[in-house]
Amino acid sequence: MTGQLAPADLIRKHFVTKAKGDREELRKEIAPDVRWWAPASAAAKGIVENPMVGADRAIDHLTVEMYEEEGREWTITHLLSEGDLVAVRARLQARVAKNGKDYDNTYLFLYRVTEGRIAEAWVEFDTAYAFDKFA
Amino acid sequence: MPRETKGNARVSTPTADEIERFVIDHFRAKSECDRQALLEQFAPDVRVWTPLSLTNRNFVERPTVGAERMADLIASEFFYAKARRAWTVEDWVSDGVKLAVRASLKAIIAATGEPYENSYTFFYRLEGLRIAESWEAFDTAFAADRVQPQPDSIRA
Repeated sequence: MTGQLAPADLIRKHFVTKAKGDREELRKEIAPDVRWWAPASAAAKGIVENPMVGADRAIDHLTVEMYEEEGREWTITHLLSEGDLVAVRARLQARVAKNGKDYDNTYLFLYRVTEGRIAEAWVEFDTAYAFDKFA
Repeated sequence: MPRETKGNARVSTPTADEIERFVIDHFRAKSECDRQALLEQFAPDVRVWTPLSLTNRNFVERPTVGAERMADLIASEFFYAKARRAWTVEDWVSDGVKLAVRASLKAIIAATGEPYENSYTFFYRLEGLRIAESWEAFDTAFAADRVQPQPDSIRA
C-alpha cells in the first residue's frame, strides 16, 4: 500500500504520537479491532480489562487514563523488527494522573503490525513499582 | 555468515535458523534446569537487569552478573521447584544481535508449593549465540505477592 510505513517506522512514530496524546493520529496507527494485552494483575486490580479490545478503548488507555499529558515522555532504548513483529524496550517518565506522583518505569512491548496498523500489542512492565505509584 | 570483531575475538552474527534453535534450547534449559547448557548460553560476564522493584524487595541483585550466578539462580529452586517447571515461548524477534522473546512460565513456587503462572518479555543483546546482556519485564506485583527467594537452595 502506498504511503504505508514499515512496521518499525510505524512503531517509532507511535511512540511520538502517544506521548503527545494525539487521538486522531493514534486512530491511524491502531487497527479498529486491536487487542491490547496488559499484565494480569492490572486486570485483577480493575485498572484495565485484559485484553483491551478496539482502537477507541486502547486510545483512551494511552491518552487520558493513567498519566498526565504534560511532561509525559517516552524514550525508546531498543527497537527491533522482523516480519510483522516489532519489539521495543522503552522508558516512560510522567506524572500519575490521579495523584501527580512522579513516575519513571521501563516497559517491554511486542507489537504485531497488519496492513500498516497495530493489530495486537503485549506490554510488560514493573507492576509492583507502578501500583506503588498509583496508590 | 557475517562476522564482527569484539576485542581480539571474532563473533559471528547468527542466522535466523540458529537464533530459532537457540531460543528453543535456552527455554528448554530453563525448564529442565540444565545448568551446563545455561553456562554455555550466557556469556561469562553476562549482565541481567531484573525489574527494579524486585531488587528493592531483596529478591535478586541488579544487575545480576555472570553466567555462574545466572545458572545458580535458574537451575536451583531459588524461586521455583525443579519439577513441573515449563516455559512456553510465544513469539520472538531478532536481528541477529538483539533478540526479544515473549514467553510464559508455569511452575510450582518453591517456598509455598503453590502453582505459579506468569507472562514475561525478555530483551537480549547477543554476542554470537550467547546472551551478553538481558533485560526482563513481567508482572512483578503478581510475583512479589507469591514468590519468596530460597537462597539456601543454590547448589543444594
